[in-house]
Amino acid sequence: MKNSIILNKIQNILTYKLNIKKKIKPQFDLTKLKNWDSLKHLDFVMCIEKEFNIKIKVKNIFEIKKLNDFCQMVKKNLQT
Amino acid sequence: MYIKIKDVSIKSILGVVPKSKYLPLKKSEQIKRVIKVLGVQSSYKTNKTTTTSDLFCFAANMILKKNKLSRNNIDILVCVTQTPDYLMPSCSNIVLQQIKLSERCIAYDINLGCSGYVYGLWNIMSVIQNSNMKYGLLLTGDTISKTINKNDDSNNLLFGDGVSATLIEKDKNNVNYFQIGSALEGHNKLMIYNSGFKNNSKKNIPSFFMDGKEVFSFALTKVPVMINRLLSSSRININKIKYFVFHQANKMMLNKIFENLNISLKKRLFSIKKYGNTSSASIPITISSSLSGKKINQPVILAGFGAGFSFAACIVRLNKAKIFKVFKYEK
Repeated sequence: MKNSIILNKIQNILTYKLNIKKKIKPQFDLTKLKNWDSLKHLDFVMCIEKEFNIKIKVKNIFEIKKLNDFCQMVKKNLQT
Repeated sequence: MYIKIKDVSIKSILGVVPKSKYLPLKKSEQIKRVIKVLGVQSSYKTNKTTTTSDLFCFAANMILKKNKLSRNNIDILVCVTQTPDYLMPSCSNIVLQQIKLSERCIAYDINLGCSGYVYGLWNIMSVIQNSNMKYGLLLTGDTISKTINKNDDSNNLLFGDGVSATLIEKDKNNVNYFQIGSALEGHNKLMIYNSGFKNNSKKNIPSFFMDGKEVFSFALTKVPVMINRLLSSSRININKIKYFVFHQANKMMLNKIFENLNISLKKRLFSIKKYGNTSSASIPITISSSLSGKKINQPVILAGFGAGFSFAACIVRLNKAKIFKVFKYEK
Protein backbone atom coordinates (compact mmCIF):
# COMPACT_ATOMS: atom_id res chain seq x y z
CA MET A 1 0.00 0.00 0.00
CA LYS A 2 1.32 3.47 -0.90
CA ASN A 3 2.37 5.90 1.81
CA SER A 4 -0.14 8.47 0.62
CA ILE A 5 -3.03 5.99 0.91
CA ILE A 6 -1.98 4.96 4.41
CA LEU A 7 -1.66 8.60 5.46
CA ASN A 8 -5.06 9.43 4.00
CA LYS A 9 -6.70 6.53 5.85
CA ILE A 10 -5.08 7.54 9.15
CA GLN A 11 -6.15 11.17 8.65
CA ASN A 12 -9.69 9.94 8.03
CA ILE A 13 -9.59 8.05 11.33
CA LEU A 14 -8.65 11.26 13.11
CA THR A 15 -11.39 13.22 11.36
CA TYR A 16 -14.27 10.78 11.37
CA LYS A 17 -13.60 8.43 14.31
CA LEU A 18 -11.94 10.83 16.74
CA ASN A 19 -13.76 13.98 15.62
CA ILE A 20 -10.59 16.03 15.16
CA LYS A 21 -11.53 18.71 12.69
CA LYS A 22 -8.07 20.27 12.43
CA LYS A 23 -5.98 19.11 9.46
CA ILE A 24 -3.04 17.20 10.93
CA LYS A 25 0.29 17.40 9.12
CA PRO A 26 2.43 14.25 8.86
CA GLN A 27 5.15 15.67 11.14
CA PHE A 28 2.74 16.80 13.87
CA ASP A 29 3.04 15.25 17.33
CA LEU A 30 -0.48 14.05 18.19
CA THR A 31 0.12 14.31 21.92
CA LYS A 32 0.37 18.08 21.47
CA LEU A 33 -3.29 18.25 20.41
CA LYS A 34 -5.67 19.89 22.86
CA ASN A 35 -7.55 17.26 24.95
CA TRP A 36 -5.40 14.43 23.61
CA ASP A 37 -5.07 11.95 26.47
CA SER A 38 -4.00 8.33 26.92
CA LEU A 39 -7.56 7.09 26.36
CA LYS A 40 -7.84 8.96 23.05
CA HIS A 41 -4.41 7.64 22.07
CA LEU A 42 -5.52 4.04 22.78
CA ASP A 43 -8.73 4.60 20.80
CA PHE A 44 -6.63 5.86 17.88
CA VAL A 45 -4.37 2.79 18.09
CA MET A 46 -7.43 0.50 18.16
CA CYS A 47 -8.89 2.25 15.10
CA ILE A 48 -5.62 1.84 13.17
CA GLU A 49 -5.42 -1.85 14.10
CA LYS A 50 -8.97 -2.37 12.86
CA GLU A 51 -8.60 -0.32 9.67
CA PHE A 52 -5.44 -2.09 8.51
CA ASN A 53 -6.09 -5.45 10.22
CA ILE A 54 -2.75 -5.33 12.04
CA LYS A 55 -1.56 -5.70 15.66
CA ILE A 56 0.58 -2.84 16.93
CA LYS A 57 3.42 -3.96 19.16
CA VAL A 58 3.15 -3.07 22.83
CA LYS A 59 6.39 -1.07 22.84
CA ASN A 60 5.14 1.09 19.95
CA ILE A 61 1.75 2.02 21.42
CA PHE A 62 2.84 5.16 23.26
CA GLU A 63 6.25 5.63 21.63
CA ILE A 64 4.87 6.57 18.23
CA LYS A 65 3.37 10.05 18.29
CA LYS A 66 3.71 11.53 14.78
CA LEU A 67 1.43 10.65 11.87
CA ASN A 68 4.42 9.93 9.67
CA ASP A 69 5.76 7.42 12.18
CA PHE A 70 2.33 5.76 12.39
CA CYS A 71 2.37 5.45 8.57
CA GLN A 72 5.81 3.84 8.62
CA MET A 73 4.75 1.46 11.35
CA VAL A 74 1.59 0.45 9.44
CA LYS A 75 3.62 -0.07 6.24
CA LYS A 76 6.14 -2.24 8.07
CA ASN A 77 3.32 -4.26 9.64
CA LEU A 78 1.61 -4.79 6.29
CA GLN A 79 4.84 -6.00 4.73
CA THR A 80 5.57 -8.64 7.39
CA MET B 1 10.83 -13.48 43.66
CA TYR B 2 9.69 -17.04 43.01
CA ILE B 3 8.04 -18.89 45.92
CA LYS B 4 6.56 -22.38 46.17
CA ILE B 5 3.98 -23.05 48.89
CA LYS B 6 2.89 -26.58 49.73
CA ASP B 7 0.08 -28.17 51.69
CA VAL B 8 -2.43 -25.30 51.39
CA SER B 9 -5.29 -24.73 48.97
CA ILE B 10 -8.23 -22.46 48.18
CA LYS B 11 -11.43 -23.86 49.70
CA SER B 12 -13.96 -21.26 48.58
CA ILE B 13 -14.34 -17.89 46.80
CA LEU B 14 -17.12 -15.35 46.50
CA GLY B 15 -17.53 -11.72 45.45
CA VAL B 16 -19.70 -8.92 46.84
CA VAL B 17 -20.65 -5.60 45.20
CA PRO B 18 -22.92 -2.78 46.43
CA LYS B 19 -26.52 -2.66 45.20
CA SER B 20 -26.33 0.65 43.32
CA LYS B 21 -25.38 0.27 39.69
CA TYR B 22 -23.58 3.19 38.06
CA LEU B 23 -24.56 3.96 34.50
CA PRO B 24 -23.47 7.30 33.03
CA LEU B 25 -26.48 9.53 32.36
CA LYS B 26 -24.99 11.19 29.30
CA LYS B 27 -22.97 9.15 26.85
CA SER B 28 -20.41 11.82 25.98
CA GLU B 29 -17.63 11.16 23.49
CA GLN B 30 -15.31 10.41 26.42
CA ILE B 31 -17.75 7.89 27.97
CA LYS B 32 -18.27 6.16 24.62
CA ARG B 33 -14.48 5.86 24.46
CA VAL B 34 -14.30 4.35 27.98
CA ILE B 35 -16.93 1.77 26.95
CA LYS B 36 -15.18 0.97 23.66
CA VAL B 37 -11.51 0.99 24.70
CA LEU B 38 -11.63 0.08 28.39
CA GLY B 39 -14.55 -2.33 28.02
CA VAL B 40 -16.66 -1.08 30.96
CA GLN B 41 -20.41 -0.65 30.65
CA SER B 42 -21.35 -0.37 34.32
CA SER B 43 -19.90 -0.50 37.81
CA TYR B 44 -21.29 -0.59 41.35
CA LYS B 45 -21.05 2.16 43.97
CA THR B 46 -21.54 2.15 47.72
CA ASN B 47 -23.96 4.59 49.31
CA LYS B 48 -22.73 7.15 51.85
CA THR B 49 -23.14 4.86 54.86
CA THR B 50 -21.67 1.60 53.52
CA THR B 51 -17.95 1.22 54.19
CA THR B 52 -15.29 -1.27 53.17
CA SER B 53 -15.60 -3.10 56.50
CA ASP B 54 -19.39 -3.39 56.06
CA LEU B 55 -18.84 -5.15 52.71
CA PHE B 56 -16.08 -7.30 54.28
CA CYS B 57 -18.39 -8.38 57.15
CA PHE B 58 -21.14 -9.37 54.72
CA ALA B 59 -18.68 -11.30 52.53
CA ALA B 60 -17.12 -13.06 55.54
CA ASN B 61 -20.47 -14.06 57.04
CA MET B 62 -21.67 -15.30 53.65
CA ILE B 63 -18.63 -17.49 52.94
CA LEU B 64 -18.71 -19.02 56.43
CA LYS B 65 -22.43 -19.75 56.08
CA LYS B 66 -22.10 -21.21 52.57
CA ASN B 67 -19.27 -23.49 53.72
CA LYS B 68 -21.00 -24.38 57.01
CA LEU B 69 -17.85 -23.38 58.88
CA SER B 70 -17.87 -22.22 62.50
CA ARG B 71 -16.36 -18.83 63.37
CA ASN B 72 -14.00 -20.56 65.82
CA ASN B 73 -12.35 -22.39 62.92
CA ILE B 74 -10.75 -19.27 61.44
CA ASP B 75 -7.13 -19.06 62.62
CA ILE B 76 -6.06 -16.04 60.56
CA LEU B 77 -7.93 -13.11 58.98
CA VAL B 78 -6.20 -10.78 56.52
CA CYS B 79 -7.91 -7.74 54.97
CA VAL B 80 -6.33 -6.21 51.87
CA THR B 81 -7.59 -2.69 51.20
CA GLN B 82 -6.52 0.86 50.43
CA THR B 83 -9.84 2.37 51.50
CA PRO B 84 -10.08 1.24 55.13
CA ASP B 85 -12.73 2.75 57.43
CA TYR B 86 -9.89 4.28 59.47
CA LEU B 87 -6.10 4.32 59.47
CA MET B 88 -6.44 3.09 63.05
CA PRO B 89 -7.80 0.54 63.91
CA SER B 90 -7.32 -1.85 61.04
CA CYS B 91 -10.30 -3.20 59.06
CA SER B 92 -9.42 -6.72 60.15
CA ASN B 93 -9.95 -5.87 63.83
CA ILE B 94 -13.30 -4.25 63.05
CA VAL B 95 -14.40 -7.26 60.99
CA LEU B 96 -13.15 -9.78 63.57
CA GLN B 97 -15.23 -8.11 66.28
CA GLN B 98 -18.31 -7.51 64.11
CA ILE B 99 -18.58 -11.08 62.89
CA LYS B 100 -17.37 -12.54 66.20
CA LEU B 101 -14.34 -14.58 65.25
CA SER B 102 -12.31 -16.04 68.10
CA GLU B 103 -9.78 -14.18 70.26
CA ARG B 104 -6.98 -16.50 69.21
CA CYS B 105 -7.46 -15.51 65.54
CA ILE B 106 -4.56 -13.50 64.08
CA ALA B 107 -5.91 -10.41 62.28
CA TYR B 108 -4.16 -7.67 60.32
CA ASP B 109 -4.43 -5.51 57.19
CA ILE B 110 -2.28 -5.27 54.09
CA ASN B 111 -2.20 -1.93 52.25
CA LEU B 112 -2.16 -2.92 48.59
CA GLY B 113 -4.36 -2.27 45.57
CA CYS B 114 -4.67 -4.25 42.37
CA SER B 115 -1.88 -6.72 43.16
CA GLY B 116 -3.36 -7.29 46.63
CA TYR B 117 -5.33 -10.48 46.01
CA VAL B 118 -2.28 -12.51 45.01
CA TYR B 119 -0.19 -10.92 47.78
CA GLY B 120 -2.94 -11.84 50.24
CA LEU B 121 -3.09 -15.44 49.04
CA TRP B 122 0.71 -15.73 49.32
CA ASN B 123 0.64 -14.21 52.81
CA ILE B 124 -2.04 -16.46 54.32
CA MET B 125 -0.78 -19.57 52.53
CA SER B 126 2.76 -18.96 53.83
CA VAL B 127 1.50 -18.59 57.40
CA ILE B 128 -0.66 -21.73 57.21
CA GLN B 129 2.14 -23.75 55.59
CA ASN B 130 4.51 -22.89 58.44
CA SER B 131 2.12 -23.33 61.37
CA ASN B 132 -0.49 -25.64 62.82
CA MET B 133 -3.29 -23.41 61.54
CA LYS B 134 -6.07 -24.97 59.49
CA TYR B 135 -8.26 -22.19 58.07
CA GLY B 136 -7.50 -18.66 56.87
CA LEU B 137 -9.91 -15.99 55.64
CA LEU B 138 -8.75 -13.47 53.04
CA LEU B 139 -10.91 -10.38 52.45
CA THR B 140 -9.88 -8.03 49.64
CA GLY B 141 -11.38 -4.95 48.01
CA ASP B 142 -12.09 -1.26 48.13
CA THR B 143 -14.75 1.43 48.10
CA ILE B 144 -12.62 3.47 45.72
CA SER B 145 -15.62 5.52 44.49
CA LYS B 146 -15.40 7.52 47.72
CA THR B 147 -12.10 9.02 46.47
CA ILE B 148 -13.20 9.85 42.91
CA ASN B 149 -14.51 13.29 42.01
CA LYS B 150 -18.26 13.07 41.28
CA ASN B 151 -17.74 15.03 38.03
CA ASP B 152 -15.09 12.62 36.74
CA ASP B 153 -17.43 10.49 34.60
CA SER B 154 -14.67 8.35 33.06
CA ASN B 155 -13.12 7.21 36.32
CA ASN B 156 -16.53 6.89 37.98
CA LEU B 157 -17.52 4.42 35.28
CA LEU B 158 -14.15 2.63 35.16
CA PHE B 159 -13.67 2.08 38.90
CA GLY B 160 -16.24 0.04 40.80
CA ASP B 161 -16.59 -0.76 44.49
CA GLY B 162 -16.45 -4.40 45.47
CA VAL B 163 -14.91 -6.94 47.80
CA SER B 164 -14.21 -10.65 47.93
CA ALA B 165 -13.90 -13.42 50.51
CA THR B 166 -11.60 -16.42 50.06
CA LEU B 167 -11.29 -19.36 52.41
CA ILE B 168 -7.90 -21.01 52.50
CA GLU B 169 -7.25 -24.35 54.17
CA LYS B 170 -4.47 -26.76 55.04
CA ASP B 171 -4.36 -29.39 52.29
CA LYS B 172 -1.61 -32.00 52.28
CA ASN B 173 -1.81 -32.71 48.57
CA ASN B 174 -1.49 -29.32 46.98
CA VAL B 175 1.29 -27.05 45.69
CA ASN B 176 0.97 -23.34 44.79
CA TYR B 177 3.53 -21.28 42.85
CA PHE B 178 4.05 -17.53 43.22
CA GLN B 179 6.04 -14.86 41.39
CA ILE B 180 5.99 -11.56 43.28
CA GLY B 181 7.79 -8.24 42.88
CA SER B 182 7.80 -4.46 43.17
CA ALA B 183 8.82 -1.90 40.54
CA LEU B 184 11.70 0.46 41.21
CA GLU B 185 9.63 3.51 40.21
CA GLY B 186 6.04 4.62 39.72
CA HIS B 187 4.66 5.10 43.24
CA ASN B 188 3.39 8.56 42.21
CA LYS B 189 1.59 7.38 39.06
CA LEU B 190 -1.40 5.80 40.79
CA MET B 191 -2.33 7.50 44.05
CA ILE B 192 -4.98 8.71 46.43
CA TYR B 193 -3.77 12.21 47.29
CA ASN B 194 -4.54 13.59 50.77
CA SER B 195 -5.19 10.10 52.08
CA GLY B 196 -2.37 10.13 54.64
CA PHE B 197 -0.42 12.69 56.59
CA LYS B 198 1.80 14.18 53.88
CA ASN B 199 1.01 17.83 52.98
CA ASN B 200 -2.45 17.38 54.41
CA SER B 201 -4.85 19.92 55.83
CA LYS B 202 -8.45 19.75 56.94
CA LYS B 203 -9.53 21.37 53.66
CA ASN B 204 -8.06 18.61 51.53
CA ILE B 205 -10.19 15.61 50.71
CA PRO B 206 -8.78 12.28 49.46
CA SER B 207 -8.64 12.39 45.68
CA PHE B 208 -7.84 9.65 43.21
CA PHE B 209 -5.15 10.18 40.59
CA MET B 210 -4.00 7.90 37.76
CA ASP B 211 -1.44 8.49 35.01
CA GLY B 212 -3.07 6.18 32.48
CA LYS B 213 -0.15 6.09 30.05
CA GLU B 214 2.39 5.17 32.73
CA VAL B 215 0.15 2.50 34.28
CA PHE B 216 -0.47 1.03 30.83
CA SER B 217 3.25 0.95 30.00
CA PHE B 218 4.12 -0.56 33.40
CA ALA B 219 1.58 -3.37 33.05
CA LEU B 220 2.47 -4.21 29.46
CA THR B 221 6.16 -4.33 30.30
CA LYS B 222 6.07 -6.23 33.59
CA VAL B 223 3.15 -8.65 33.43
CA PRO B 224 4.22 -10.85 30.47
CA VAL B 225 7.74 -11.14 31.94
CA MET B 226 6.30 -12.08 35.34
CA ILE B 227 4.02 -14.76 33.84
CA ASN B 228 6.85 -16.27 31.76
CA ARG B 229 9.12 -16.38 34.83
CA LEU B 230 6.38 -18.05 36.88
CA LEU B 231 5.79 -20.70 34.21
CA SER B 232 9.47 -21.36 33.74
CA SER B 233 10.29 -21.57 37.49
CA SER B 234 7.32 -23.83 38.24
CA ARG B 235 8.05 -25.93 35.13
CA ILE B 236 4.37 -25.91 34.24
CA ASN B 237 3.56 -25.81 30.54
CA ILE B 238 1.33 -22.88 29.54
CA ASN B 239 -0.96 -25.34 27.71
CA LYS B 240 -1.80 -27.01 31.04
CA ILE B 241 -3.34 -23.77 32.34
CA LYS B 242 -7.13 -23.79 32.14
CA TYR B 243 -7.81 -20.07 32.70
CA PHE B 244 -5.87 -16.82 33.01
CA VAL B 245 -7.58 -14.51 35.50
CA PHE B 246 -5.85 -11.15 35.51
CA HIS B 247 -6.66 -7.97 37.41
CA GLN B 248 -9.42 -6.21 35.44
CA ALA B 249 -7.56 -2.97 34.74
CA ASN B 250 -9.03 -2.38 31.29
CA LYS B 251 -9.97 -4.61 28.39
CA MET B 252 -7.54 -3.28 25.80
CA MET B 253 -4.60 -3.58 28.20
CA LEU B 254 -5.58 -7.14 29.13
CA ASN B 255 -6.00 -8.19 25.52
CA LYS B 256 -2.56 -6.76 24.65
CA ILE B 257 -1.02 -8.74 27.54
CA PHE B 258 -2.89 -11.90 26.49
CA GLU B 259 -1.79 -11.44 22.86
CA ASN B 260 1.81 -11.01 24.00
CA LEU B 261 1.56 -14.31 25.88
CA ASN B 262 -0.29 -16.07 23.01
CA ILE B 263 -3.22 -16.97 25.23
CA SER B 264 -6.31 -18.18 23.39
CA LEU B 265 -9.61 -16.30 23.70
CA LYS B 266 -11.39 -19.14 25.52
CA LYS B 267 -8.85 -19.04 28.36
CA ARG B 268 -9.22 -15.30 29.03
CA LEU B 269 -11.71 -14.40 31.76
CA PHE B 270 -13.28 -10.95 32.06
CA SER B 271 -15.72 -9.23 34.41
CA ILE B 272 -14.84 -5.60 33.70
CA LYS B 273 -17.86 -5.06 31.43
CA LYS B 274 -20.30 -5.43 34.33
CA TYR B 275 -18.27 -4.58 37.46
CA GLY B 276 -15.50 -2.22 36.24
CA ASN B 277 -12.06 -2.21 37.83
CA THR B 278 -12.63 -3.33 41.43
CA SER B 279 -9.01 -3.11 42.58
CA SER B 280 -7.89 -6.06 44.75
CA ALA B 281 -11.32 -7.69 44.41
CA SER B 282 -11.26 -7.86 40.61
CA ILE B 283 -9.58 -11.28 40.33
CA PRO B 284 -11.93 -13.09 42.77
CA ILE B 285 -14.98 -11.21 41.40
CA THR B 286 -14.00 -12.42 37.91
CA ILE B 287 -13.68 -16.00 39.22
CA SER B 288 -16.97 -15.66 41.10
CA SER B 289 -18.87 -14.24 38.12
CA SER B 290 -17.39 -16.62 35.50
CA LEU B 291 -16.89 -19.92 37.32
CA SER B 292 -19.50 -20.15 40.10
CA GLY B 293 -20.73 -23.69 40.58
CA LYS B 294 -18.10 -25.13 38.22
CA LYS B 295 -15.35 -27.63 38.98
CA ILE B 296 -12.00 -26.57 37.56
CA ASN B 297 -9.63 -29.50 37.37
CA GLN B 298 -6.63 -27.87 35.67
CA PRO B 299 -4.52 -25.13 37.32
CA VAL B 300 -5.27 -21.45 36.76
CA ILE B 301 -2.99 -18.41 36.68
CA LEU B 302 -4.00 -15.34 38.67
CA ALA B 303 -2.14 -12.05 38.17
CA GLY B 304 -2.47 -8.66 39.86
CA PHE B 305 -0.60 -5.45 39.09
CA GLY B 306 -1.05 -1.81 39.95
CA ALA B 307 -0.51 0.78 42.67
CA GLY B 308 3.03 0.91 43.92
CA PHE B 309 3.82 -0.19 41.27
CA SER B 310 3.64 -3.77 42.50
CA PHE B 311 2.91 -7.03 40.73
CA ALA B 312 2.18 -10.63 41.70
CA ALA B 313 1.07 -13.81 39.94
CA CYS B 314 0.39 -17.34 41.05
CA ILE B 315 -0.53 -20.78 39.77
CA VAL B 316 -3.21 -22.32 41.96
CA ARG B 317 -5.67 -25.18 41.72
CA LEU B 318 -9.38 -24.61 42.20
CA ASN B 319 -10.37 -28.27 41.92
CA LYS B 320 -11.50 -28.39 45.57
CA ALA B 321 -12.82 -24.84 45.66
CA LYS B 322 -16.50 -24.03 46.05
CA ILE B 323 -17.03 -20.94 43.93
CA PHE B 324 -20.14 -18.88 44.64
CA LYS B 325 -21.82 -16.12 42.64
CA VAL B 326 -21.31 -12.38 43.16
CA PHE B 327 -23.64 -11.19 45.94
CA LYS B 328 -25.04 -7.69 46.41
CA TYR B 329 -25.12 -5.82 49.71
CA GLU B 330 -25.88 -2.36 51.01
CA LYS B 331 -26.16 -1.14 54.61
